[in-house]
Amino acid sequence: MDDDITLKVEHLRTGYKGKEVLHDISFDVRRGEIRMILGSSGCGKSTLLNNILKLIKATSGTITYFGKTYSAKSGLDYVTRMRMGVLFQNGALLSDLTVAENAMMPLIRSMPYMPRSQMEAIVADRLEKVHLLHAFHKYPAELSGGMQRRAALARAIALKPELLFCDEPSTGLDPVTARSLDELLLELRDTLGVSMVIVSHELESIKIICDRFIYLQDGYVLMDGTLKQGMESELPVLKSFFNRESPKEIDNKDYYHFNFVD
Amino acid sequence: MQSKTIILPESLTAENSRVLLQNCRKALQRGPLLLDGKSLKYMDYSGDAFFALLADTSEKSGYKLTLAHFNDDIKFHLQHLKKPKIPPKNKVNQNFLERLGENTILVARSVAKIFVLLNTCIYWSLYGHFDKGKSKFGGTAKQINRLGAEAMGICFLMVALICFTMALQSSFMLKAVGGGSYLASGLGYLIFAEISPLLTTIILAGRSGSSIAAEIANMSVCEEVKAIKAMAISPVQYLVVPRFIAMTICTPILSFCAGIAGCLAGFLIAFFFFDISFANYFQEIRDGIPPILFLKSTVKAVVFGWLITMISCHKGLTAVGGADAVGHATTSSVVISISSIIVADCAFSFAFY
Ligand SMILES: Nc1ncnc2c1ncn2[C@@H]1O[C@H](COP(=O)(O)OP(=O)(O)OP(=O)(O)O)[C@@H](O)[C@H]1O
Ligand SMILES: [Mg+2]
Repeated sequence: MDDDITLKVEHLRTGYKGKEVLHDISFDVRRGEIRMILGSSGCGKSTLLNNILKLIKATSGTITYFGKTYSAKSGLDYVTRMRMGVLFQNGALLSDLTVAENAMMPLIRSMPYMPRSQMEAIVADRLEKVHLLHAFHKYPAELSGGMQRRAALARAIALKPELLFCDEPSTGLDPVTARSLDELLLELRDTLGVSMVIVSHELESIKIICDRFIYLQDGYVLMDGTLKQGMESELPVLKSFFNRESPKEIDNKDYYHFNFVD
Repeated sequence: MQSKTIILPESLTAENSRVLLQNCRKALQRGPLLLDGKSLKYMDYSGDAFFALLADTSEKSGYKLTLAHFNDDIKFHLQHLKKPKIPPKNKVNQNFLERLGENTILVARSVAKIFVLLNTCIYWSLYGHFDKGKSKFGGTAKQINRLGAEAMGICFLMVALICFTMALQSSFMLKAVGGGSYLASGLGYLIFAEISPLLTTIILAGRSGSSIAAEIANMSVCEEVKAIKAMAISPVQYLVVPRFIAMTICTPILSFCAGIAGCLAGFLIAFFFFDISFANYFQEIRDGIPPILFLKSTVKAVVFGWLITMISCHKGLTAVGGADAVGHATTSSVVISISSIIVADCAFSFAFY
C-alpha cells in the first residue's frame, strides 16, 4: 500500500515573516491520481505548493517523496527534483530564452550530452501537445498570458515527470483551451501514470479531472475526500464552493447610526 | 447650548461637498449641529463619505449630529451605510539599539553569503567542470560580450580622458621644475598601479554591475529564479557562474587595455609640451614600471571585478517585492560595489606598497 503513495505531507506548518499561513496540513497523493488543492483566494494554496517543492522552508513537518522522507528544514536533492514537474501560477518562463529553449531547460539539465536536434524534437512534441508549436521560436513576451501558461506546462512535462504540480493551470484560459488542457492532464495521467497535485478554482475543470481533493481553510485541512464526497458534503463552505453561492454574511453592528428628526 | 443649523443644497456631489464638509466639521467641533436636508434630493458616493466623516467627528467631539427633514430614499440609504473596518497597521516599535543590532546582523549575514557565493562560483568554474551534476547551459560567451566587450568603448574613453587631464595638470609643475623627462615614467606607473584598475572597475560597476543586478533582481521578483530551482537547476550555477567567469576574464583585460589607452593620451601631452618622441615615451614607461606591477594591477582588477559580480548577484538574488525592489537592488549594488572597490583599493595600496 505504501508503495502506492508518491507524495505524503505530514503536519506541515509554515508561514511568512511574522505570520503563520498554514498551521497543520497533512495529506497524501497516490500513484496516478489527480489530487486537487481547493480553497478561497489567499488561503495559502500557492504557499503549500512552494513548501512541498521546498522552495520555501517550512517551520515543521515532514514530506515524503517516492518513499524518501525529508524534514521541514532539509533541502531537496536534484535527483528527486528532476522527477517532478512544476507549472507556476504565472508561468515563470525565462524571458531571455525562446519558448523552445525554455522547454528545453529540464532536458539540458538532466541529459547534457543529448544532441540538440533530438532535444528540439522532444520539445516540439511537447509543444504540439499544448497546441503551441507555432510559437516555437517566439519569446515569452510575445505570447499572451494563456499561451505563456501553456508553454510553461510544456516545460513542466518535458521530462515526463512522475509527479506534476500545477498552480491554477486553466485560470484565465478560454473554455476550449481550458478543456483541452484538462484532457491533456487526464491523458498524461492515463498514459504515463503521472500523479498530479493541482490548485484550481475552475469548477468545470475540477469536475472533470479531480479524483480526490483537500479543501484548505484558515490554515487547516477542512475536508479531505473524493470529488463525490465533496459535492455531497453538508459543510456550508463546501456547499457554497461547489454551488457557486456566496456565503451570507449577517452583521448589523457596523452601521452608522444617525439621529433623524422630521 | 443652541445647535447650529446648516441647510444642505439640492445635490451633494464631489464638487460642493468639500467646502461644506469643512464648515460642518468646524461647527461640530464647537457644538451640536443640525443638518437640514429638506431640499436634498441627490447625492453621490462623496455624500456617503460626507455623512460618515461627520458621524466620526461627532463621535470624537461628543456633540450631537442631527439630520432633519431627509427624504425617505436618502434616509434609507444612510441607515444602511456601513462603517468601514480598516485594520490597524501593525507597526513594530524598535529602539535605536535594536535597529542597530538587527542591521549589523543583516550586514554580517550578507557578507557571509557573498563569501559563500564567491566560493561556490570558484568551485563551479574550476573543479565543477568535472562534477557529474554539472550542466551544459553555457552562456559565458554571451556574458563576456555583454559585460565586457560592450563596455570597452566607455572604459577606454574615460580612462584616456582622465589620464590626458592628469598629464596636462602635472606638465605645468614638471615644466616649472624642468622635470619633463619624468612625465612618462611617472604617468605610466600611476596609470597601471592605480588609475586603470580603479577607474575601469568603477565604470564597470556602474555599467555591467547594475545590469547584472537589475536582470537577476527582475528574475527573482518574477519568480523565474523559483522556476529555475524547481527544474533542479542551481540559480548560482545558471545565473551567477557565467557572469563570474565573464567578469574574471574581462576586468583585467579591460583594465590593461584602458591603461594603454591612458598612456597614449598621455603621449599627446608629452609630445606637444616636452617634444618627447613616441619611441622614447614608451621606452621610459617600460623602464619606469617594474614588471611585478602588471601582476599587482591584474590581481587588483580581478578582485575588484569579483566584488562587482558578487555584490550585484547577491543583491539581485535577494530581491523580493515588485518593481521597486529591482530599482533598490540596482542602486544599492552600484553604491556598495563602488564603495567596496575604493575600500579594497586602499587596502591594496598598503599591501602592495
Ligand atoms: N512573500 C510573501 N510575504 C508575506 N506574505 C505572503 C507572501 N506571499 C503570500 N503571502 C500571504 O500568504 C497568504 C497565502 O498566499 P498564497 O499566495 O499562498 O494564496 P493562494 O491560496 O495561492 O491564493 P490565490 O488563489 O489567489 O493564488 C496570503 O494571505 C498572503 O497575504
Ligand atoms: Mg496562488
